[in-house]
Amino acid sequence: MKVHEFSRLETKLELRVRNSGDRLAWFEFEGRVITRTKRSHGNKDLPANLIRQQLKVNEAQFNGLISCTVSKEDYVEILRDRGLIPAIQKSTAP
Amino acid sequence: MATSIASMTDSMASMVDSKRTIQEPQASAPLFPELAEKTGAFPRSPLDAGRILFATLPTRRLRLSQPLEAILEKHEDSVIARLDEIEEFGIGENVTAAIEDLGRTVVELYLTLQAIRDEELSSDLVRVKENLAARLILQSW
Repeated sequence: MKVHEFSRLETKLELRVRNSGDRLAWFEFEGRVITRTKRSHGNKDLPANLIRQQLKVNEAQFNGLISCTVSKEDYVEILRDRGLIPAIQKSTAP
Repeated sequence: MATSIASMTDSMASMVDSKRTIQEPQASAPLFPELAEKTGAFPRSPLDAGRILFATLPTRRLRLSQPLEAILEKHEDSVIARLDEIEEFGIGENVTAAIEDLGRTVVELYLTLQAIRDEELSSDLVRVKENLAARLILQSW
């Protein structure tokens, strides 16, 4: 996985880091920390399969995140389907 | 919570002591003494060269209750050391660098998760937090 591809992921998912020297970036949603992934340091390519596992997506979804066919909102839905983000409560009120 | 990670102090970074030397490996003599001296890591046997045990972390604040077993693999011109149980890895130009990177990543992961309440973590990260808490011991000063 190229460094610029990871940068695109970081921007799209608005991954958070404490400071530039950190090794990890975190995906937060509605006040909860949901996933984390290893950041790229220097110009070294990162192993796509391991980044993908940390972000909890399959290969097609991961490729979509990089190629722009999967949005941040789509990613939230993926995590919801995986049970990492609580399902939206359907209102039962009349 | 949006600021919880960003607002953490830099104290975590200061805990890391890059000059710390490694002490006593917890098994029989290492196969690669130079590597073990630098990282506290060593393959368990010649037949198990794709796995490596490491017993120390790059900080005085934490120690491992037992060695962690990392899987080594080549990735292009780099080496990856990964811990499948917690889906974490280190990467470097050689085994030593990959193990050191993994150790620093594990420390950062542990300290960051410890600073966040379970209610503010996904179930997966709670699992990782519990896994690390069972293996890492915070040293009292």
